Amino acid sequence: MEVGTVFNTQKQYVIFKLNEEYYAANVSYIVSIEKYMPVTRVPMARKSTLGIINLRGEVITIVDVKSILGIPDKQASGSRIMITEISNSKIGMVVDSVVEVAEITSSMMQDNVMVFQGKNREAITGVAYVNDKYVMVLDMESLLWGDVVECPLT
Amino acid sequence: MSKKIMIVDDALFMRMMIRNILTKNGYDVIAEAENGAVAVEKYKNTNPDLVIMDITMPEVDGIEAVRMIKKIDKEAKIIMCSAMGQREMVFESLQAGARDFILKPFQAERVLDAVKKATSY
Amino acid sequence: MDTSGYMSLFLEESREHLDNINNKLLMLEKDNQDSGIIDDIFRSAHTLKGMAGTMGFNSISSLTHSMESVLDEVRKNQLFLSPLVIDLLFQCYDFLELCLKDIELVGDDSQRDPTELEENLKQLISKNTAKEIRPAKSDEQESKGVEPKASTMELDEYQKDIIRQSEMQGFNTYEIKIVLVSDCLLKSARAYIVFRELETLGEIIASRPSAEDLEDETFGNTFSLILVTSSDISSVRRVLDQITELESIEINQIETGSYKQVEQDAGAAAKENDDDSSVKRKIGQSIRVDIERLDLLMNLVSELIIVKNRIQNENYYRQDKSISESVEYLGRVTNDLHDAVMKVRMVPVEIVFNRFPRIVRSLAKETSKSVELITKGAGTEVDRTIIDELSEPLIHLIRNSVDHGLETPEERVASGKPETGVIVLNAYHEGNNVVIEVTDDGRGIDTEKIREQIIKKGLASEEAAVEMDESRLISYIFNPGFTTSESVSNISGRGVGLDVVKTSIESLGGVVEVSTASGKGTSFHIRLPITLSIIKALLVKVADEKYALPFGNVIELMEARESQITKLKKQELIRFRSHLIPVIRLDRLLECPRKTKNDSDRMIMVIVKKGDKTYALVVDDLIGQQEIVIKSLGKYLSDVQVVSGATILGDGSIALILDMNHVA
Repeated sequence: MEVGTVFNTQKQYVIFKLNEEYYAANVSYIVSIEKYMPVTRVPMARKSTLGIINLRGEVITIVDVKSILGIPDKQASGSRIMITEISNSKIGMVVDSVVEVAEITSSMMQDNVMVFQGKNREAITGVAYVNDKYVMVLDMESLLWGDVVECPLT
Repeated sequence: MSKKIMIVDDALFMRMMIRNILTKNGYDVIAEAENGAVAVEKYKNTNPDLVIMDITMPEVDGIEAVRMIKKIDKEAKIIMCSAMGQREMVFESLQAGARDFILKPFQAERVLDAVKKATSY
Repeated sequence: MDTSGYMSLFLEESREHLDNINNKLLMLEKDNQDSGIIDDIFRSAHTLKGMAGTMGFNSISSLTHSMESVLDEVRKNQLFLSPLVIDLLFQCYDFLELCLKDIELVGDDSQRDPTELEENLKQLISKNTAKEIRPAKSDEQESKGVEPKASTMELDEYQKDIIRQSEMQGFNTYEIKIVLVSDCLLKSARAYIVFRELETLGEIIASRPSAEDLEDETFGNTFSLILVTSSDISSVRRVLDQITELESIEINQIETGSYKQVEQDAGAAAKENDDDSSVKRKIGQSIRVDIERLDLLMNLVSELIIVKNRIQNENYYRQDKSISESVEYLGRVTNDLHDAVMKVRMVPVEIVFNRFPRIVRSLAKETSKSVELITKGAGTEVDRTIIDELSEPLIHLIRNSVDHGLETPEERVASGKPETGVIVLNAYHEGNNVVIEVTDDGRGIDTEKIREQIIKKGLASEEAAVEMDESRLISYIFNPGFTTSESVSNISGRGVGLDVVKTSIESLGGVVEVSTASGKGTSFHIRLPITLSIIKALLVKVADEKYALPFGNVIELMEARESQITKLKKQELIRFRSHLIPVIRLDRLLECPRKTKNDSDRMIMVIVKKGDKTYALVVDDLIGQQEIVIKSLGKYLSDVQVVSGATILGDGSIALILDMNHVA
């Protein structure tokens, strides 16, 4: 599924699930959502790197987002790969399912961040209450590129 | 001796206008043609020093005519007339061997400048 | 007249005169005003002419005759003895040498044709009949005059080289600036006419804006171009005057004060040890192509190869004979296409290397040192875009060697070294890379001084600095602003430091390494990718994964048994061609997970060579040899060193490309 053009994209987020929790990523970072496919391992890469895939002739790195966030991996079925692009560099994230695309406004943001179970707090900008559920809003740049030496972000 | 010029354009009006400009300035219009085929025939018969030719014409268009005339006489000097927005055709005619081009609607000085340069070297 | 009895006498005397010519030419290089030397050379050439004429050796007598004419003009002060002329005379010497050798071996020199050299010599004189006496230039001016003068356009090395070459052959180079009338409507067509007409006179080797921009009409009303032609300036003006809609025409002649050696099939320059076959470049047959178009071409060729591989793969299962034949042919054509496109982009490093002897000479003068520059592998080819980027870093490294590396003649003699310092510039291909080394036999890098500076500048604590080993210390020379020299010498131009050298090379995807030995010298080692995005590779299976080894590194394939492996201090070794080489088990190195255990005693090894080291890589299986398209791994994985890229195989699966530099 391609995330198509929605008006006022700034506030549109893709809501997806990791284990039983909901997360949100801003639509402007998402290129496409693919079905899970076999990943080729890359030796001696960072622990959170699962490997690379061949996506229609393009070589894309796939990361294990749960590992980056520090949450346990409870095997969930129907995994999907979300292809993100930041500063012309693509990275694929493995997620358990994609739920919906929703608008998140500042009024929906909550005060308490205690809902987040994982270790990597910097990757979360906050928690929002969207469509009857609590959703962890992700800081994509920090999440994916936070500890990379050759960060393409300028 | 004044230079001999042939004017080729499917519009009588255009031919008249160019002829006036040329004859007033000492050039001799020895032939006119309304399409490329006639132009090639008349070129063979009258052997002008210069041809002023429109690009878009019925029967045989300007580009084809340039090729055919150049086959008969590879030294033939041909100036193309083109309306705005015919960039590709201008390029094609230049590649076919046309020497210069003037854009319509043209000013007398531009026409004369082109004709002078084409006939004096 | 029976000349056979005189042969040995002829050979002996000719050899003497030739040696004399060579020595005197070398002296002339240093001081081109000494009329005594010029007379001396003239006399030797004259004598050679006479002897050769008597013996019936026409090539020698003909060439020496032309040399005489030129030398005569020189001593009458009617021809200025520029480096161009001296170089041409050196080439004549080379030619005469070869003639003598021929005479020794087969008895005559008729195989050698001096016509081209004679033409060049003639041109020197004919150019003079129209010109006035050129005033003598000072040595300094001369050696700095490498760049084409008075060109307002930015030219790359390749273009500058064409200008130098064309001037050498007697062509004129003009920079032409055209301003179109302000109401010109079809600017691109008008520009096209300008180009077309000028191309009847010669060749346009550069234009600003680019040909593409001119076609797209993304320019104002002005454009400039550089024309190389044998016509004179009035002919050029005449052609341009006939074109309408030109507001103004400005024509300027571009002069260079330098030269480019025209290479002959037979000779290699006496001072340069170039072991590659010489490059013959013809001017007047080159065209300018925008780099973006070449990139596009390359991408298309890459895609073609991927599709070809896919078809081959499909057919492997179907075993259709007619398809096999067609695909094979397709494969050959694609290969040729690939090579052709690569060649278009590739240019010998010689273009950059050629500037260096002059630079070294002037640097040596500046620093009052005696320096000899030896270049090797000038024919090694490198991508065009790299050539431009290379020259600044290399110039800096050479400056560095002359300035800091090499000692003064007195110091050298005092430490038992020959007075003249040697810098060797060496270029060669290695696997998928091009390597360029700058090596001097100077004093080496003083690591203790570095340690002092580190402490002094507070770059590290004293305790830490004391712990640092040699390679760590040496890496500091690449820090910005770091210098251990007492005085900062005059660095012209852009204020380049070794840190800039490092970042320049790294920006090209390469690496710089240093090795040094105190008192013996220093070597800078630059390794750059050839920018081949398609390479031949050996595909192997390691555990359950597929890897690609660049063919350039592969020497041989070997089967061996576990029992043949010996161990020395934990390093496994195996015998290969009477040497013991290290064994590297790829499945362990790459931490490959295994589904199946390999119980058999038999092992498959790929023998690879990296630099001067040879290794045996243990793999599980060989898949085949294939051309692969290199896909970058992207920035996220840039810190993974053991693989340098990935490739998509015909069946859609991925093989990682091993980087031989990090396998051992």
